[in-house]
Amino acid sequence: MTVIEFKDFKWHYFEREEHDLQGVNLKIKKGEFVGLLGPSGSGKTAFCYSIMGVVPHLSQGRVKGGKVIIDGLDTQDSSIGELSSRVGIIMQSPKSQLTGAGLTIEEEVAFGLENTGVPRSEMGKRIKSVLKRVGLYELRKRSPFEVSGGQMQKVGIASVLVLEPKILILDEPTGYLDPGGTEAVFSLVKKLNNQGKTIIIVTHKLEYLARYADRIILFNNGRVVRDGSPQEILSDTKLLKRNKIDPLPVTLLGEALKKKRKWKQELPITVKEAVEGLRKVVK
Amino acid sequence: MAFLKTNYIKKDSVIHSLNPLVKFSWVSLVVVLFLFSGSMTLFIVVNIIILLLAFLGKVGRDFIKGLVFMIGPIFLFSLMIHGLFNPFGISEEVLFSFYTINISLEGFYYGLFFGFKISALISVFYLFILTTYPGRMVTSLRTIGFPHKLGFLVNATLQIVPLMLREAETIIDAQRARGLETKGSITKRLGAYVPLLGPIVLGSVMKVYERTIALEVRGFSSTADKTSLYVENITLTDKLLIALSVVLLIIYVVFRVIG
Repeated sequence: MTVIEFKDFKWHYFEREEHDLQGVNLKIKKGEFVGLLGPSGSGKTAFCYSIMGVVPHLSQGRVKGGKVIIDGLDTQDSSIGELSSRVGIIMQSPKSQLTGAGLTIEEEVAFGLENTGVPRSEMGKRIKSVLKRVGLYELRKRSPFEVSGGQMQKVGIASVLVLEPKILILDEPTGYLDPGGTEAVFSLVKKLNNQGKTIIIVTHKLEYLARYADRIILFNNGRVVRDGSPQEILSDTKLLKRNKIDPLPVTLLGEALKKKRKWKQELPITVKEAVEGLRKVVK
Repeated sequence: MAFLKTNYIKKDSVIHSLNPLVKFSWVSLVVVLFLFSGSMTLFIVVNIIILLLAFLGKVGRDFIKGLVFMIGPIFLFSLMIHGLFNPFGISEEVLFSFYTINISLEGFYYGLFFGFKISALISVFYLFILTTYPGRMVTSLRTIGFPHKLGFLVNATLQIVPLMLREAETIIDAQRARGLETKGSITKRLGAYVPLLGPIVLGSVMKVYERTIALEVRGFSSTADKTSLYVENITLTDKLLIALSVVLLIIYVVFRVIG
């Protein structure tokens, strides 16, 4: 079942010269784990905002054609309020997603539930479960502005997760996190994906996409350059370099060996694949 | 600025445990007095009562510190301006004379009255903010039918002050790291705060966009019936106190009309 559909969608930001999305055509099915790749300014964020309805409702710009349909709703005809029950977005900067509506982490997480009219009896349960899931339950009485950057990001994630959206968008969610925190976020996201949520994640951390994503969409200049499996995209080192993305070290290792005709199979994208390949080379 | 409390102080006191609506009704009473009363004695009494209540609420020290900081300059300017330019016209009685500058007794008295009047208003709101938990306040505002957007507005405004102060500290640290002089004479110190204004004001304006997205993502404009994390119980004492404030209001109005 298709939950996200872009039909030749063109979006133009007023303050910039070129279109930020220049005709995007794609479909994303329910339960897919999609990674978005692309250099800065390639239109990844505009793409994410289009799913959420921030484009065209809040951003300064104009739709130049096409449409976006989210779970049966045309984003141009539906309000962000309507869309927010279906789509949740987690942004890059942890501070910018705090609403300031609550003095404590618990209240910040509760804010969305209060707005969407979740009864009080259910609120407590949902908040407790989501805070335990992200590991913030012990800090629930602290101010969300007085915890570390990584914990602040987790508050943002918890506040969105608690609304139980079907589609979860994460725009570079691990930029402020240490390796442990990054792993925790990705494995949490994977768990949610296994429970049936559609995941769209923007990240520069290719090693995680190699391990977790079902599909990768490569953006540049507001267009989809390539759409395929992680294996197909991450092992194409030329394609990645052309689009200003550093290929994974394991892939580069495989490529170097291939040049010397020692590597015969597909280029590796995970450490596991590299180890298996190297065994064959050594033999 | 960190010494100045602008937000709720957690304490266990009678004032803290009152239903926010009780405090609202008493704040409203003071607002009515502020708007319609011309008695200096009354305002001095109100000021003293609020000060006593602040100590009862265990926030006395912070209350006085904040109040002096806010009201001190108002008193100073009020006495100077009204003393120099007597609002009642030329007065015979001169309190203080220095060459051609005369401070009139009437003007000085009016300045004092004006200071106590403003002080009553500011201190009642200040005490309210210091002793009322924002979450509880929003909840009780909703129970009497305030729109939830207004509740958020009140709440967010209260919380934005400490956040902006913190932001200012970060900016000034960054500017210091790039060589801004903040130590030295008073003029130098004051001058150091000027380059702070641009980033903090512009920064706050730019954050509006991000804040809007954050709010919208949490269903802020959702049309569902709003619910609350807290429940506010209104006790018999609360009801009696609200009734008392209403009675006092009526008595005041009656006296004003008759007298």
